Amino acid sequence: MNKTISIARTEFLKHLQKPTFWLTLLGVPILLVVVSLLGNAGDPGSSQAIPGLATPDQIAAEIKAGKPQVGFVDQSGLVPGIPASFPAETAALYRQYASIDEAQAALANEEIPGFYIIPADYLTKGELVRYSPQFNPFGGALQESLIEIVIATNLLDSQDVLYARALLEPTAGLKVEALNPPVNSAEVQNESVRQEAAFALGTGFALLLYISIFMSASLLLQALIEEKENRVIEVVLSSVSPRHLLQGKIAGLGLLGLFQVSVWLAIAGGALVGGSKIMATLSAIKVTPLVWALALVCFILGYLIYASLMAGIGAIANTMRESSQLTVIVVLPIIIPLMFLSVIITQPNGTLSQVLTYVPLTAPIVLVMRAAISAIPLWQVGVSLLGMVATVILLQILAARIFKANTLLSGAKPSLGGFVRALRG
Amino acid sequence: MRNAKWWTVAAHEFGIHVRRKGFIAATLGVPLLFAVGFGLIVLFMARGETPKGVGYIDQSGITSAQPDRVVITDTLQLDVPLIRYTDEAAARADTEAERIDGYVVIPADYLATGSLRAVSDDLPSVSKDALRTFLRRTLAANNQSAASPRLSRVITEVRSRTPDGAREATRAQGVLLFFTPYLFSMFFFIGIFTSSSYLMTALVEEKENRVMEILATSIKPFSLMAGKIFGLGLLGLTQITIWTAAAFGMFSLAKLRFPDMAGLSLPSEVVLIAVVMFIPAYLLVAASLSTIGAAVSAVQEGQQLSGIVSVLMISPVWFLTSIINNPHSVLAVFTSIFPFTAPIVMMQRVAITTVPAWQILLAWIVQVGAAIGMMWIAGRVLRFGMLRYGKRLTVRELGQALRG
Repeated sequence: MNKTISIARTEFLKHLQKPTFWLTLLGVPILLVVVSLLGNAGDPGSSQAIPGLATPDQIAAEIKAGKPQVGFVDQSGLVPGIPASFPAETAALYRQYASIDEAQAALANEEIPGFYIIPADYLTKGELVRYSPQFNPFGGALQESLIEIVIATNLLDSQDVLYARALLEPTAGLKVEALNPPVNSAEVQNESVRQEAAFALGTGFALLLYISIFMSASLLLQALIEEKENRVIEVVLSSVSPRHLLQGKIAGLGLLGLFQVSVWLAIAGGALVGGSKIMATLSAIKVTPLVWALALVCFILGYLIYASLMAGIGAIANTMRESSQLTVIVVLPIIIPLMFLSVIITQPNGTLSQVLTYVPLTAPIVLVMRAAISAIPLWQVGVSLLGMVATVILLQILAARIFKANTLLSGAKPSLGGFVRALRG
Repeated sequence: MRNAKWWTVAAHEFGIHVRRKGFIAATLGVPLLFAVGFGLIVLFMARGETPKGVGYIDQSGITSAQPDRVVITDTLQLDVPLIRYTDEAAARADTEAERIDGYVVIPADYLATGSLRAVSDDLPSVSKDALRTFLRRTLAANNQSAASPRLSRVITEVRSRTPDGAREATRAQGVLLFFTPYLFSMFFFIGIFTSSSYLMTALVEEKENRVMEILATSIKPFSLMAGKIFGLGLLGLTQITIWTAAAFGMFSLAKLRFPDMAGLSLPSEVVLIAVVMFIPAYLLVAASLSTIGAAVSAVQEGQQLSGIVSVLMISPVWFLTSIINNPHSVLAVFTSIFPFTAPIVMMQRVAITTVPAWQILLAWIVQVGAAIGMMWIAGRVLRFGMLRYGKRLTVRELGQALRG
C-alpha cells in the first residue's frame, strides 16, 4: 500500500513540476477570457426582444443611441402605419418609407440596419422581402419580430398590440411549477429563461466532466506508454507489483485531474461573478450542493472507468501511435452524450436520457446533466450509480489481469488475439 | 535526384497511412457516424417523449369558442390532446394520477400580461409546443376579419437581398449558407489535424527510435520534411474529398426526398474559397507541427504544444456569432486575414456578406507567405533538432537554429 501511495505522489508531483501542465492549467482560462472579450467587443448586444417584452432600459438605450431598428415599405396597403396601441418607445423603432428608393437611400446612409418590403400579394402568400447588407439567417431575428408584430397588429380588428403579442408568442410568459411540494410562484422562472439556463448549465456540466475525465485518463495512458517506450517501466516493475503501479498511477493522475478542474472552476466562478449577464441567466436554475456532490462522485467513478480502459490500452500498446487508434474506440461512448446534448437537455426525462443514464460508459456525464437541469427520480440515480460502481470493479479486475508483467514487457503488436490472451491470463 | 528522394518519402508516408485501419475507419466511419447520429437525434426528438396531454383552466374566456378537447398534431405526427377543466382540483388530481402531463391556468388578465401558470413535474417539450400552437390558433380564430387565416402564420418566408439586389436568399438557403462553411471548417480542421499530427508523431517517433539517424545519412532534412508533408497532405486531401463527397451525396438525396429543398443550391463561392485556402492552410499547420516535432523530444510534449496550434485554428468558432453579426468589424476582418484563422473565417464571411476582393487576395497571399515562412523555419529547426535526444530545444537554441 505504501508503494501505491508513493507512486501516486511521484506521479502527481512529476506532472505538477512540468511547465506544460501549468501552461494548460492557466493558458486555457486566459485564452477563453481573451476570446470572450474579443467576441463581445464586436457584438452590438444580441438582444432578441419582442416589443413589450424587452426591458424598457434596452429599448430606451437603443432610442437614445438614435437607432431605429427596422425600416419597411408597404405595397399591400395592409400596414398604413404604426397602430396607436403601440407604446411610444416601441413605435420609435420603426421607419416607414413610401417607396423602395427612399428606403434604399436610408439604408445607404446607415439610418437603418435593414428594411422589409410587404409585397402586394402578401395576404395570400405571407412572404416578405428583406434588404440588408448581410445574409445572416439568424441575425435578423429582432428586426423580423418587430415587423411581424406590426403586421399582426394591423391585421387585427382591434388593432391591439397586446393581443398581437399574445398571439405571436402565447407562451412567452409561461411558468411551470412543480406538482409537489407547492412553491411560491414568484420564485418560479419563466420557462423560456429556464430553458436557456438549462442549455448553458447542461452544456457546461457535460464539457466539464468530459474534459476532466478524459484528460486525466489520457494522462494515464501517456504516462504508461512513455515509461514503456523508454523502458523505465522495466526498472520500476523490478520493485513494485503491476497492480500497485496501476493503482498508484490512477490515484495520482486522478488527483491531478481533480486539481486542474478545481482551479478551472474557481477561475470560472470568479469570471462569472464578474460577467453579470451570464450569471443572471444561470441563476434561473439553482445548482444545489447535492448536485455538486453528485458531480464529484460521477467524476471519480467516470474517471475510474475510463482510466481502467486506458490502462488496458496502455498495457497492450507499445507506442503512442498504436494507442491512439485504440483510444478512438474508448472515446466514442463518452462522446455520445455530447452528440445528443440538445436531446438530453430538451428532454431530460425522455427515453434517450434514461437509457444513457443506465449505460455505465455514458452515465457519469448524463446523470449529472439531468440532475442539474431537472428533477430526477432518486431510484434512477441509485441504479445508475450502482451500475457505475459495478463497472468500475469489473474493469479494475480486468485491467489488473491485462496489466501483468509479461504484457507490459513484451513488445508484441497489439491485436485482438493478444488482448483476449491477456484477459484469460 | 533530390526530387526523387522526397517523392519516395511522400509515397511511403501516403502508402502506409492510407492502408491503416485507423485511417480507413475514420474516413468512412465519420460520415456514417454523422448520418446515424443525425437520424437518431431526429428520431429521439420526435419519439423520445410520449405526451399524455395537457389540461387547461381558462379564466380569461379566450377559448370559449373551442371544443372541450382539441388534439394538436405537430410536424412530426405526434398527437397532444388539450383538455378543458373547469376547476383546478380536478386537473391536479388527473395530473397526480398521471392521466395528463400537467395543466395550465390561463388567468383573467392573460391578454394584458401574457403570464401563464402551469403545474407539472415534467412537462414534455412536445406538450409545451402543442400548448403554444393551440393558444395561437385560438387567438387567431377569435379575430373576425378576413385576414384571420394569415394570423396563424404571419410570415411564411423572407427573401433576403443584398442592398444592390445582386444576391437573394430564402431562409433555408440562408441556413445552408451559414452551415456550409461551418461543416467545411470541421472537415478542414479534422483533416488537417489528422494528417499533421501523423506527421508530428512520425517525426518524433523516428527521432525516438533512432530511424532518423539512418535517414539523415541519405536524405537532406528539408527533403525529408517536404516528402512527409506532401505525402500526408495528400492523405488529408483524400479524407476531406471523401467527406465532402459524402456530404454532397446526402444533400442531393435530401433534395430529392424533400421538395422544400429543391430550390437550394450549394454556395459555389464558399466551396471555391475552401479549395483555394486548403493547401496553404495545411502547409502552414503541417510546418508548424513539424517545427514542434523537431524541437521536442517526446510525443507527449509535442501533443501538448500542438494543442496550442489547434486551439488557435479552431478559435474562430467561439466568436462566430460576433463575426456573423458584424461581418465587417475589425475583429472579423483581422481574423479572416490572420493565417491560422483565415480559412474558417473567410469562408464564413464570403457566405454571408460581400467581401472586398482585396481582402480575399490579401488573406490568400498572407496565408501562402506564412506557409512558406513556416516551412523555412521548420526546415531550419529540423536540421538543428533532428538528432538531439532527451532534451527539447530552448528558445535560445531555436533562435540560433533560425539564424543558421
